[in-house]
Amino acid sequence: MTSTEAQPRQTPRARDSWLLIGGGVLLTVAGVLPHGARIVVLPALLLVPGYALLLLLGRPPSWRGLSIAVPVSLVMAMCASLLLDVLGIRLDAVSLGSTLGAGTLLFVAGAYALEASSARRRAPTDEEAPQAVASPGEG
Amino acid sequence: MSVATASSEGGRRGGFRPSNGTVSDLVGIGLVVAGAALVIWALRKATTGDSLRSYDPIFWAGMVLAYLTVIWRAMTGRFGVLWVGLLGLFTVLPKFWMSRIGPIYYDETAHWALLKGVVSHGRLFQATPLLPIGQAYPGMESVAATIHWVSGLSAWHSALLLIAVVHCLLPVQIYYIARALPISHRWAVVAAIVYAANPSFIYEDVMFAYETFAILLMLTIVRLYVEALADERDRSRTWRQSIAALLLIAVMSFGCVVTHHLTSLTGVVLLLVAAFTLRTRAPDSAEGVGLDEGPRSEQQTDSDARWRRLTVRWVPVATLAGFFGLWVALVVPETIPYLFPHVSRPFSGLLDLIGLGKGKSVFRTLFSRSTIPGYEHALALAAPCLVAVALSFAAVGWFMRWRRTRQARRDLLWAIILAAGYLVSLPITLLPEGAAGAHRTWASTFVGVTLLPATLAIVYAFEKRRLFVRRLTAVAGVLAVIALLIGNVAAGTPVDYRYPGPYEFGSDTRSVTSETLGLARWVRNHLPDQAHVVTDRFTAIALTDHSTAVTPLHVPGLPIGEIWYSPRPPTPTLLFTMQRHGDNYLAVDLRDGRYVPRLAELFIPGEPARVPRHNLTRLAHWPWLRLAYSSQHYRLYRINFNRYLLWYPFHANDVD
Repeated sequence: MTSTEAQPRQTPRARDSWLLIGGGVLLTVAGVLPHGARIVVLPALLLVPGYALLLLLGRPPSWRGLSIAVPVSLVMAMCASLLLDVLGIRLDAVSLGSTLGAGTLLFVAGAYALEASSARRRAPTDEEAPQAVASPGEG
Repeated sequence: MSVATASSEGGRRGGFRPSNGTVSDLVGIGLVVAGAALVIWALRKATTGDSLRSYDPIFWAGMVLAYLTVIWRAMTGRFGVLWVGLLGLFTVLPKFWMSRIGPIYYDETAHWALLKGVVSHGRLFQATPLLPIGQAYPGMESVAATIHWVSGLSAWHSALLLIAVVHCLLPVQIYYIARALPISHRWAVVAAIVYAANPSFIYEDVMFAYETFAILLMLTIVRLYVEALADERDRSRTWRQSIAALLLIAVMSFGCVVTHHLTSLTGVVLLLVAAFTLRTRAPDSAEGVGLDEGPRSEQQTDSDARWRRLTVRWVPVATLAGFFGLWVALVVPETIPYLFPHVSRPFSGLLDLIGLGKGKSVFRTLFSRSTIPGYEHALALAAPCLVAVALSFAAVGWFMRWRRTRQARRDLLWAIILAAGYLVSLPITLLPEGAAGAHRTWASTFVGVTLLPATLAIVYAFEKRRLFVRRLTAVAGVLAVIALLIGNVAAGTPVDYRYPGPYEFGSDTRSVTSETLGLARWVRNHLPDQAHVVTDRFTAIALTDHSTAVTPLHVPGLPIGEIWYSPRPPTPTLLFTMQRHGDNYLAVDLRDGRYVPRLAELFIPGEPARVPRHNLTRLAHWPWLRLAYSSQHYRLYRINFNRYLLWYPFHANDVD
């Protein structure tokens, strides 16, 4: 997390996650969209994989993060191309779109899994629970 | 007093008055649009063949108007970073206007050929004779091709979109690097705008070439690294947060290494200097002093923090260097022999100049064939002097006034070292062997120059001076930025790379005429896909840009220049090699025998001044060449290698 970022509230974070999931789905289906309509996938291509990786690494989406998310998205596109090329799969809209979309959804799912795991670790034990409830100022 | 506090406090008392209104932003946008209109007007006038002196001032009026507007809005408005990004976007205009239908520079022609190969085959690691090493660095082409496939844009427009996004983000990354040092918003904006005045920014860093994309990745790595160090210094961090930052840097490092060799190397140097100079501890931190005195748990915490800080400081350097080493060792060992001459030749040239070498080297003459106006000459000479003066004052101030700046002195040292690296590279450009290599380091070393204004402001406490002095400093600073902008472009970019113009023999950008496009169209329609056409540099660029032809270059194993220059017929060795490579076609431009290329060579440096005219007309009489296409200046032949074998023994000693 960068030095000036504040932890966002839960609601914007949930909204951002839905945007990322929507972007991931859009990337996944890019290959089957009509050629002229594919331009709508462009913002998702430039932003979504990068923001999803940042979310996985503990950096919630922010305006400031835009200038990191875009280069990361471009590198994600590069990594997807290299991966497919090494596997001998022909590069095209279907293979790249689905790989990037799947990667995005995987990153978002991973971010939530990590968060759930952290929350479980932080969860109060039976003895601590009443004390935790009694702590003032939380919530 | 921390740097950030000093600067931000002073910033509020500075020569600029805050102007936050939407109206001001709208006026700013209007002024930038007016600047863009002036730039396009100048470029259109250039197309008509007017004198350079008639449109060059208009061009600079538009550019300066836009730069001044961005300085005003970014420093006083609410959306400073957006304005800095807008400047990056605005500065693609001149180059994009010239190359809106296709590549025009030699390097981007090579990368365009690579991109076309990737798109047509659906595979990476495509080859082009114009840039053999580019085959092993497919990063940029893979991203441009992905944009093409996923968005449905044409391949060339995908390339332009990628470069526009990259160029928009370059000054933004500089802004955030400065902010993380930490430098106040105002001086970080100054750093970003000074970066937009670097010698490569408006033309070279806008071309579709792998270093353009790699520079963004390298600056992003540096930004993430400097921010990670700042976070270690200013905030309490956990191992998990630090490792997340390192992983992100590793991802970007991999991308940078796969994209461009030299930028990865300069990135390693930048990180290395930063690792030695930037702090990860707050200046008043007592860590290390009382380690033995505290309770055991605190000792463990301190030890843990120290290990974490060491990890954050050194692992990114090792990661980028390690990825580069592995890529070179396992994928493309040719990188070393490719890069080595760029280091060894300038070095031996320097030794020759001071009398310690075996050869004889000479300096290039400044502006020897240039037609630029006098004010560009003057500013081109003034720009490095300005940097030298600023660096001298910054270095002296840094040494002499260390008490005032001791908390920030190591951070500022990073900038001073990089700026010194930039200045050292300037004389190397005067050596014929060193110009290309030195030029390519500027995008990295200029980062130091961008931080000099903030360094000067801190060590000389500009913000504490009287209002009159501050205003005078602000005006001088703005004038210095304008001088850097014009001077650096004039010194670093030839006129034919800056403006379109009428046909000029021997120019990469102005050799294409409607006749050339006719040849390319014929090749596209009548020759097989990827047909190999042996030709000179300028016809090769045109055919690569506008057809699917592959154009082999003159290399030691394939000395095709002999066909143009040798009085004897081409040797069997050459023809056998051509046959083995499938080089079945030969294209000549009859103007090769009439004119001398002024700006680049037809084949290799040191070639004879002019092609003997008869060497081109004799081709029509050789029976093993069958004329396939003919226009006023171009001839394209199909080579019959079997007939050559029968013909050559009787004509081996023919001398034309």
